[in-house]
Amino acid sequence: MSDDLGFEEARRELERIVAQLESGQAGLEEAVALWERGEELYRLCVAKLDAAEGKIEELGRRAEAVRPDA
Amino acid sequence: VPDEDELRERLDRLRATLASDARRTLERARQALAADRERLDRAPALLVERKRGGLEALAGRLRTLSPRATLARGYAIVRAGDGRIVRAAGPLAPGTRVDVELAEGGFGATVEDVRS
Repeated sequence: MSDDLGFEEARRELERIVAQLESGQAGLEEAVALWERGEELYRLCVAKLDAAEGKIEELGRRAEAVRPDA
Repeated sequence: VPDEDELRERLDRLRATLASDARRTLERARQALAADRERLDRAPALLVERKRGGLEALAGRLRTLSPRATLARGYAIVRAGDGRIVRAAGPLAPGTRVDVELAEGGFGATVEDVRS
């Protein structure tokens, strides 16, 4: 399973999985596999959001440091 | 014809007005820029928050749909030797080893009597 998906791509796949599960058409094995993939995508998305947040905070700190006014 | 002093006075007043207008304009521009700066600073974090909220809502739906939620209600997943999930008891022969997965942990079991 590739993990070099961008955040939006991973989220879209997660939405598709949720829609599939909600349709109730998946058999149990498929549902388990879908759900596991869904959880994997969720973890990936959270990691990307955390990384973005970290970068934003870092950029904010750097911007504060060079700003002439307070 | 207005005299020179009058003209000088008017000129000085106009200069003063021009200077204070320019300062006010500059001050307003600075404030607008400061407000934009604040919004710029807040925007990325707000975006991340919004995306997190959306993601959590999606994850919530995923969790209620997960087979784990079914297990949590007391159902078990029974698997035969080849790992396939068992739905029908009929084909099971007494003595068959099965794996039973619960919400927490699982156990191996041997089929004894079969009901259909």
